[in-house]
Amino acid sequence: MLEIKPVKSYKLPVYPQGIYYTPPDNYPWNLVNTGIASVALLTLLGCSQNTGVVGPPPMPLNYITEREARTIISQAFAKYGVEFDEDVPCVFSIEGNPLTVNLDGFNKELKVGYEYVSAYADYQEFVEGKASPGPWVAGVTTDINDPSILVIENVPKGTGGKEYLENAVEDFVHELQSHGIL
Amino acid sequence: MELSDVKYSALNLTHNCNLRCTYCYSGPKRKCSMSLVTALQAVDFLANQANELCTITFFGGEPLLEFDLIRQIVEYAKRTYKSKINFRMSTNGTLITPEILKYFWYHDIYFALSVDGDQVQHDLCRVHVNGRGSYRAIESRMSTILDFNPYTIAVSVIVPETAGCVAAGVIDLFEKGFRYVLQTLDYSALWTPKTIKVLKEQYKRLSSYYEKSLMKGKKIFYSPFDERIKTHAQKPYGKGDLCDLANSQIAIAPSGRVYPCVQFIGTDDGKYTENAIGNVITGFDVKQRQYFVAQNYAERQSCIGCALDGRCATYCGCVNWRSTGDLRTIPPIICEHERILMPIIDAMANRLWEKKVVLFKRKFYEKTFPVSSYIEDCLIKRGGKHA
Repeated sequence: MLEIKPVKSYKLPVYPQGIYYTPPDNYPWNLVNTGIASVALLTLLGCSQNTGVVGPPPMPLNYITEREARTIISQAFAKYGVEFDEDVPCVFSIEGNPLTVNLDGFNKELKVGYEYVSAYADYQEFVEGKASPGPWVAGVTTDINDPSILVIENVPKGTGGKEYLENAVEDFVHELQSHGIL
Repeated sequence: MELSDVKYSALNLTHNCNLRCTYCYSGPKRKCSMSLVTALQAVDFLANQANELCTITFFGGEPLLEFDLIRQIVEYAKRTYKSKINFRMSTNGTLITPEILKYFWYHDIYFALSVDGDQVQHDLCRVHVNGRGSYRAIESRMSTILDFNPYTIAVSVIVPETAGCVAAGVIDLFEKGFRYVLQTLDYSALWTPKTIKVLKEQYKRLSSYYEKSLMKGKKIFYSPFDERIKTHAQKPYGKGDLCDLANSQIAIAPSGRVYPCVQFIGTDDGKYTENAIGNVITGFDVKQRQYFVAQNYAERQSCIGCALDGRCATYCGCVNWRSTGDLRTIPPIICEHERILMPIIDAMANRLWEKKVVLFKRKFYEKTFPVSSYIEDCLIKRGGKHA
């Protein structure tokens, strides 16, 4: 017979309670994450726990596409004399584990790069069958130590989208300048 | 009692379903669907009730039997309320087509797929009208579904008859590429000490798999483990954390009646209507709503003094009501289940902590983990067709 039996004593687990972990200083990149979507993502993931439904939340439609973002970002960097090679395969190390990343833009001399994270291909391209796999180059990789990478998540189109990207680049450049990287 | 805004609502589009799952709580299946007028009234009702964002989950029956209705609802809501309302769905997956996936993908509609485990486990309960298992119908769609959204959630139910194959079933789902498995017991089934013992051995096997996966850096989410670890590592359940029926979470039946949760809808007639807390046209019955919230928040007398209080699932009033007929009365199976499960999970989590497993630390102690993990996934995915 199953029954309800309140547990009188229970050994407190060893794993700690209510502390928060700070990523180590040797985290693989100086992640400057400027995405508005990130904040929304975190908030919504937190909210979603009640419903038992997790995973990435719905995001607004009509993002700046990968191609548009690359143009805006590279032009914004060019104002400061920073130019990039596109689609540069790099291997980073996260706590000893390799992470291979094909960066949208990377300057090997400065060890500065950017990545616009577009989670979805442009819908129209996809339905028309024009979306093609990204330029993944397996096996041709470069080991990078201590790079500075600007990561921007999906930015909605419309008022302010382009300015948002340009401001993100500007802030990032100022940060690099303050560290003597540029 | 102060009530909160509605944040989540299930929209029960139909009482009909193409499956006849043995543990389904939705009542007898019949061709009775929500009308377009009611559906749009429901959207208006929810938009007015929600202060900020409201998530509507298409539910049933099988909601994809009403795909045209879904389209009309989504298009109306986007047109009228923009991003204030977003959508999700709970589906058995057997009717999914590439066109439906494209539509969902375009409109950012994420869904949970009901799949119990491997074929043995799944086909025992999730059967077609003719009694044949439905596993094959979804197996052929799994890779396409995961390709469209690798975060698709597998929702699984354990019954006493499948207790012995839980580990194989869950591992099979993870090996097939699911990263999220939400699993629960059918608490209203006839559980015995023998079947509980069988289940305990299965959880031990699963804890070993989970531990090894995290050590290898494999990101998996298994709700029976993850949710309970969080109640220690982060914070214990508070009122409404696990289940906030009739308050921030509600459900709307095809008739337009509003219920505390989908589990109360049943056949949406006769004595079931006594559970209704309003109607999309006339609004909430505030007293009735307050009654349900108060019952759900009330202290569980049988749990007073229990060392596991705040860590287990006794505060889901829906489960209590469905199993015992009372929101505050806990079915013994919940208590037994928590007592076998918690020590297994805590022992595993202790090992992961002591071994300094990075993914364990990130997952349970890094506030920004959902974001950093998502970015990491996107970066790793670069070169894939969705990048």
